[in-house]
Amino acid sequence: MAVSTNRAATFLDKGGTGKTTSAAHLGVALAETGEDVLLIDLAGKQGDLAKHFGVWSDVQTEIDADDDWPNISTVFAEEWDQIASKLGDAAVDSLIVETDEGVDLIPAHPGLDSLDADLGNIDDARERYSRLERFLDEYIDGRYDTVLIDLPGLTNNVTYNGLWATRNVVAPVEMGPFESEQATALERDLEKIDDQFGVDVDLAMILPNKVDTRTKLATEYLEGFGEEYEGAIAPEHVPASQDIRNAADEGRTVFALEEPSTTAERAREAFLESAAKLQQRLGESR
Amino acid sequence: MSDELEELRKKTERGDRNDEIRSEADSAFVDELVDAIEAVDSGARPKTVAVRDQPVAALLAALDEDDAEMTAVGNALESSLGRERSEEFDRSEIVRLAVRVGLETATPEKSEQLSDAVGRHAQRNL
Repeated sequence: MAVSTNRAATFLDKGGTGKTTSAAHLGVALAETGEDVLLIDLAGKQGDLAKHFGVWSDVQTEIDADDDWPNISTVFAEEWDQIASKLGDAAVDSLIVETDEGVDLIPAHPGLDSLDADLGNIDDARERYSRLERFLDEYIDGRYDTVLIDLPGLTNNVTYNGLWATRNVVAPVEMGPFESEQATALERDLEKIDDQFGVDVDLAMILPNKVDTRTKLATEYLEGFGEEYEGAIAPEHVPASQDIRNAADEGRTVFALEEPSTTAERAREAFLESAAKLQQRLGESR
Repeated sequence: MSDELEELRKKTERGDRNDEIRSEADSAFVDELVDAIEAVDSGARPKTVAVRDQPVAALLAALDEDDAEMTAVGNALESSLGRERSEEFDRSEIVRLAVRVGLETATPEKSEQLSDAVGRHAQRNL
């Protein structure tokens, strides 16, 4: 895969580990260093990534007004090339929403809900899983320095498209026994994809998230993850911070807070350092 | 939007799973409606509707005795349906209009499905 744009997907086969928050913050952190960043939300019709940047109500208005075509689910269609050829640059431009925090975003759409089942009807597995890759190769590559995709918290056909297209996973993990098992399961799944299809998807980063270092157990898991995933562990963990949640509720990241608390400052630093490391790893893997 | 693009839009537009389930159910009901129109048309099902409702029967009887009131009620119903105003009404016309206003107000999607079914039945019998 010869691409000029770095690509990664936030994924773990478990809900609530901070995939969307990580995609949003890593994206803004990269943009802070001058990168052109595109975020793509495949995580579900609820549009959490767009909500994280306060732009979901505009997207929802377009959906309600039936002015929502083409959208992210359209790029998976067999007819996408025809549509893009008819619409010209407007085809891709109309998918992209600008945010106030320096990153562009292709928001989720309710059509993602039924897309998974339709992809399942494509008999040829390579064809089924490579629709997004083709879109990125032909329509996005070169327009941005980095594309980050937020994937569903479960393994389905849409998820496989995201993994296949990016070949790099950022897995946000909380410090607990289930997450440790999920990370191991993720490694197994990535090996299976390689065995079955010869598609090498790297675990580019394990990002310890919502870490409360005041608890002994969290510190132990943090050390355990560091030892087990030495080559993939993020340089800094993201601290548990109510500010991150509050900022998300207000439709922004902690980078947009005017008076960040100490933990918000630490979260910013963690995302900035992790983003720099991710950039380096993605560049090496290209 | 060009016809070709409109066609591509129709082919690739997708809603969420709930929309799809709903549209499948809607489409099945329109099929049932077309069959029912066929049955009414062929005489297998009655073409008239009789209802037992004493107050409504009394209202219709009173309207039948008062042309001005009958026309006012008829015009109000027509107006609600966005139709042109007529000058004369009979009791059947008032009931037909009132049922349609009721359906349009309470379940507009059923009115739309009925229109679709009438159209499809007409096409089938061209």
